Amino acid sequence: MTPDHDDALRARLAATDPMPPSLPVDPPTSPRAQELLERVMLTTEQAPDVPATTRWRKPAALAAAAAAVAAIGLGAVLLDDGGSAPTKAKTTLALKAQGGGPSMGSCIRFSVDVLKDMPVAFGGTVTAVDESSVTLDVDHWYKGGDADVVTISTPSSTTSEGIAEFTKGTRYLVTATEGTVNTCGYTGEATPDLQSSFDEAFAP
Amino acid sequence: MSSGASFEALVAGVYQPLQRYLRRRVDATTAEDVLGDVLLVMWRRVEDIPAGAELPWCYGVARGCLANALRGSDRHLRLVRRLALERPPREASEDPALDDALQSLAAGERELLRLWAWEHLSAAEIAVVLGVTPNAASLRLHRATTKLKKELLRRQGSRVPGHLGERQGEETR
Repeated sequence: MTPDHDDALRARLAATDPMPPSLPVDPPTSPRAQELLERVMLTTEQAPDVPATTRWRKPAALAAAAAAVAAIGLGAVLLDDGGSAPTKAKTTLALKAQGGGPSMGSCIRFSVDVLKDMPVAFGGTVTAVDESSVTLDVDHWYKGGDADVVTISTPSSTTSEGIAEFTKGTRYLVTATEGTVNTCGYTGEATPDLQSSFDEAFAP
Repeated sequence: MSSGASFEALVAGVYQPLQRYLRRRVDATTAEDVLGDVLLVMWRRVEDIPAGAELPWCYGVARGCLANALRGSDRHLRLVRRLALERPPREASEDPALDDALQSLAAGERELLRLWAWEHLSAAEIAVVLGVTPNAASLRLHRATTKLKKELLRRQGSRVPGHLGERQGEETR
């Protein structure tokens, strides 16, 4: 094979390139690129030992969480060996919100050390809000669960102070202890600050 | 967050070439949609990305995502998109003999030649894109270029650059 013939042929083909280097494309520093990157990295989770079709990471510390959380159908999911095949039916975890909320000054200072000991932690987006409950679609489990959906029921006497204000369509990071959602900053809107605290607390 | 930071660095290296790859083959809107799909797959399968062959691997993913997108669209739209890629309007073509010669090759051979000439990949890199051995890629590339040269010779008034046309039907090893 004579390389110069092929170089010439290659150049002739290259001349028909509809997107040659002379035409600009979006740089990776552009706002659009950054937004795309953020969306990809926030909404899915790397799962190296799980097939690409499954989104959930293997839950850790299941024994404690199984005892602590009041759940419908969660038991079967928690006992799952995890990661072999995506579950088809949606699983739901039911949590409660505290009635009345904490009184002034009763919150301990937020710390990642306390966060990482939370038995149940996840990130999800609110799909429904009514006067007695909030429903979230979970996109990521940090600890203690595997359910696709979480419902948080608020006791009828609650004044809605102290628990996070849940807005439909917004993403939240939530922790719970013994079936009750935590307040004092351990549950809240998934701001970059809170997100990085969660990432740090639950890093593998 | 270190895995996130290295993923960002990875994306920074392939972001523009991936856009070119896609926009060479489909309209800008489809290209943008598919780019998102590609990044998602890269994020999920980051452990699979071969060191030193990141870009060819990403082209391979883009190829798969593109095929899915073309399958998913409605039939008419799919047809329009395929035609736009495969058959540029003759009057607008700057090299009608080349376009004509290319039409007598198989679609897979055309894609191979695009990877070689537009993405400017080596046979080894093409192997990663297609998921075949370097030898297989080398052989396919050689067959495709030989066939194209033969088709160019057959057309009247065409010249393969550097080949004066006097030596017909020469098979090179």
